[in-house]
Amino acid sequence: MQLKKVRSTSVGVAWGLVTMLALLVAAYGGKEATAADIASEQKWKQLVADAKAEGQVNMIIGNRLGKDWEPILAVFEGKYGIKIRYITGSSTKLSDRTLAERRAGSYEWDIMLGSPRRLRDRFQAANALREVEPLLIDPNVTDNSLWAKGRKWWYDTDTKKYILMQTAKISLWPQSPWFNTELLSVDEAKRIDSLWEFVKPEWRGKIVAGPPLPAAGAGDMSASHPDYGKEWAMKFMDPKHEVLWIENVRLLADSLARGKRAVAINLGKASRDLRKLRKLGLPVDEFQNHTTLAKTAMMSVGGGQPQFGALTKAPHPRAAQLFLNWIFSKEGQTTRQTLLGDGAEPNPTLRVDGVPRGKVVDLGVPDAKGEVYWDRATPELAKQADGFMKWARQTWKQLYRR
Amino acid sequence: MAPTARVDRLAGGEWLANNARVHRGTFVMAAILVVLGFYLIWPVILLLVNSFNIARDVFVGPAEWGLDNWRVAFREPGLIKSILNTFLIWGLVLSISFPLAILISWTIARTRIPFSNALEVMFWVSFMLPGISTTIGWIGLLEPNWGALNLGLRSLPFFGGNEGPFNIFSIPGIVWAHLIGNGISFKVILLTPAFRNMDASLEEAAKVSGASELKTMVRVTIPLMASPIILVLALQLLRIFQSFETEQLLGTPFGFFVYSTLIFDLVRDIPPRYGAATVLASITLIIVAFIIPVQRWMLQRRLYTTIAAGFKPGLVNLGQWKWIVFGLITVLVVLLTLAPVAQLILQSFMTRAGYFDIHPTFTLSHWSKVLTDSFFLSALGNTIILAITAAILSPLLFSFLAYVLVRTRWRGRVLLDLIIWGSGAVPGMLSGLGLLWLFIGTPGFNALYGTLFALLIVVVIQGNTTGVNVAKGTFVQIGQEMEEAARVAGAGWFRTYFRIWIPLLMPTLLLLAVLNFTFAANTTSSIILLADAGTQTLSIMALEYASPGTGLWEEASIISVIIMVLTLGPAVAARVFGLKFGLRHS
Repeated sequence: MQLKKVRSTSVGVAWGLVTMLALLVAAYGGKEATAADIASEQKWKQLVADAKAEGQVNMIIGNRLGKDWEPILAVFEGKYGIKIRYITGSSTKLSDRTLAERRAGSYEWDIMLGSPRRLRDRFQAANALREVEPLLIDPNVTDNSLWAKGRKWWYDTDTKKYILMQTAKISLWPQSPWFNTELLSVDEAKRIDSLWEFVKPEWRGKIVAGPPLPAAGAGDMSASHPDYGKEWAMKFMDPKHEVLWIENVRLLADSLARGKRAVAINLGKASRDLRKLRKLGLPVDEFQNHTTLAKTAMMSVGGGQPQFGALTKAPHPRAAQLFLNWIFSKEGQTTRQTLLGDGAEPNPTLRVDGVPRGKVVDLGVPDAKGEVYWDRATPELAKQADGFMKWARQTWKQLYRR
Repeated sequence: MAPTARVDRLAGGEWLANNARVHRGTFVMAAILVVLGFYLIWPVILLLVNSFNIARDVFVGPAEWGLDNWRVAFREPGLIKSILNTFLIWGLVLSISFPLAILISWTIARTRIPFSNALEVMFWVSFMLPGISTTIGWIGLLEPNWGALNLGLRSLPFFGGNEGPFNIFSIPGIVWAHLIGNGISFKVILLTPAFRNMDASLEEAAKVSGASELKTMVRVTIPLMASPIILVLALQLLRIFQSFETEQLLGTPFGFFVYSTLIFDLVRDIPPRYGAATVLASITLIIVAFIIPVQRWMLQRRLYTTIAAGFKPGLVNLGQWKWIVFGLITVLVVLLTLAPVAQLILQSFMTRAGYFDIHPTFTLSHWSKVLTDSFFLSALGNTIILAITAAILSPLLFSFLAYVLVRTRWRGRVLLDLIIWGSGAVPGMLSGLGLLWLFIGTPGFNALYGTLFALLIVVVIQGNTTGVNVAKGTFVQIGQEMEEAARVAGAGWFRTYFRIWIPLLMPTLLLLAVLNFTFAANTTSSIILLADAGTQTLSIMALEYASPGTGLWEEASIISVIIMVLTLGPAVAARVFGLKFGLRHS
């Protein structure tokens, strides 16, 4: 009992000490948090004031997506009263033009929204990109816990400074193959659980595919995926396999919808067209709506959607900074997923703080929670993918341009 | 005039006058060579110099010089096959279109065929239609599985199977697309004015000597037309390695590719390999080196004057054949114009072009999308400004250059000829880059960069190879004595120009006006790198809509229809005006 009392007294004293300590820590910490908050708020107010004083952001929008981004940009314009002037068109042409301007000492643009590969291989290589991390001051953006796997995702996997990713393309199938439902029943489609199936002789002359060339956005023939590789690609590209190669996205989608071939692979931007055809009631569907791969699904970070790069020597650096803070915020990503025009297809954000799905297609995978099945955003895999794309392109040309 | 008297006069005041004229001519020619040469050749030189820049990206980092591009470019897979394919398509298109175009031009210009003016205008309409849009339209008809015409034919008892009978994705399909595109119409609109300039008395003389209509055409008319015929051939040859979009669209599905496909592959690489692409494109300069001496030799070996002081216009009577010929040309005109125009309009209202089995089949949404595009109105305005400026200034500039080349003896004419032909040798996908470098990196020009003035300069001068040579062809046909008579009668150079040259040149000037209006309204590759947010044009919008990675064919069709309507009005007006004031046959 005594012991119990002593114990009880000791526990009481201990609790008292702990409580006091906790209060002290809380009071001290709270004071510091408030100061940080105030500093942060002041910084933010200053940024908004500076940005409004600049009054404009000049933006390059590649992949011909200007019109699709207009509603999103309009929200930013309405909120801050800052005008966004943009030019849109082919990413290659816009990159050529901007890099040539910069070499001649003309710096007209603040931000480029375009293919992350072009941003990395051309703009970063030309030292034309600002480091993004120091530009982000909104706690709603800087807090890593709000992003998939508790970290930021960078396309420049070596440096992790310049191309902060907002989205990832998540697919249960590499290349997201489609099929014609009149030529291949859903039950038959359900039995297929690997791309290896499509290199079997019974699929000869039944597949249409985009060649591994950059124009139509057709990708890397899946060979940088750990389950496939060059061996699979060589079998698939073998002329004896009689794959119908079509570069034009429209003709590629039509070939499947019209039943010219039963399966379409390596679609690039043609998958967007196929979704339109499915909506119109044509007999096309995605394998991943019915079946999952037996092995590894894929999360391709950076693929499929343009990403942002902040340009050095920008004429409106503060307005550009404000825009980046906004677009990476929950509000910005919500606006993107909700208002992106029909010409583009929004990939899911890498934020994990409950951004509404909006127009993002439900793939039945836990994308928003940041589950990653196979992450290509590592320096090794990024290099491997680049090397593979070169190999695939050259090999395809050797085989089909003899 | 006796030789002695001539020497005496030359020894006197006229020698001084001639000498002064020579000096003035030298000065004018020097000015032309410096200004035009710089504008036309400097971009080519920049491209060629950069072909030795072996840096990974010519826009990034310091230049590295070497021969790697020249070594690597000619090792591109499929080089030999691509050249053979190029010649195959070119040869087939030329062998069909060329005789056909000569026959049609002769018929329209030199015979009493009904509605000849309307037929000629229809060939202009055909020329104005953007090739890529008409090809897309023909895919909708001749795709082997689901093409509307193939489906219709297969529903007939004597056709069966699931494919054909036609297949647009084949070599005949590509040839067809070229012929129907502007393979025939371009030649007809270039040759018709030349045939119209024929002096009927020459043909009458042949007939008086007992020659039949056919023999007269073969032995008199066509040899006299050698100058424009050679020109059309040369222009076709110059563009042999530039034809690209049709082959890209129709050839890839059956593994067919041409030389320009290889250039395109290099240009779209990441980063683009412009150096190697320039190396491949430079092969066209060899063709230029061949064209110029041949053309000069052909023009110098005999006289092609068909419009002299005693010019007698006149038309050949075809008798009962005129209705048969009229019927045949009308069928061709329908294929060239009405069919593709109808397809363009139809597909612009379809939910999905070529799909009649979906609901709703028709929609206004594509029109709504295009007309509400934030760039549309400014693009429309820019296009009109560019096209009208080109239509007014280009004919004046090109006819002046042609006059200098044909009517003067100023030194430097060969160099000027070389510059004009050489500038046409660079394919569009590279010339745009050359112009970008010119406008960005040249003091004076850089002030224009990003403005509509830069685009105006480009569109006014861009058709120079065709324009100057067409005007040259007309000057060659017009006799010297008419100008001399005017001068003897006391007319000064300007009065002679406006009272003699303008009426004689009117059909050609109007042809050049319409050609350059059309070029300017449809131009893409030469201005795409120069057009800023505020200086977009309709043609660039159409290109973005129809690009292989976008595939918005319905929207592209709408822009094509709008450009066609824009172009058609001035073309018809020009035609009517030309008939009123130019040379007329009755």
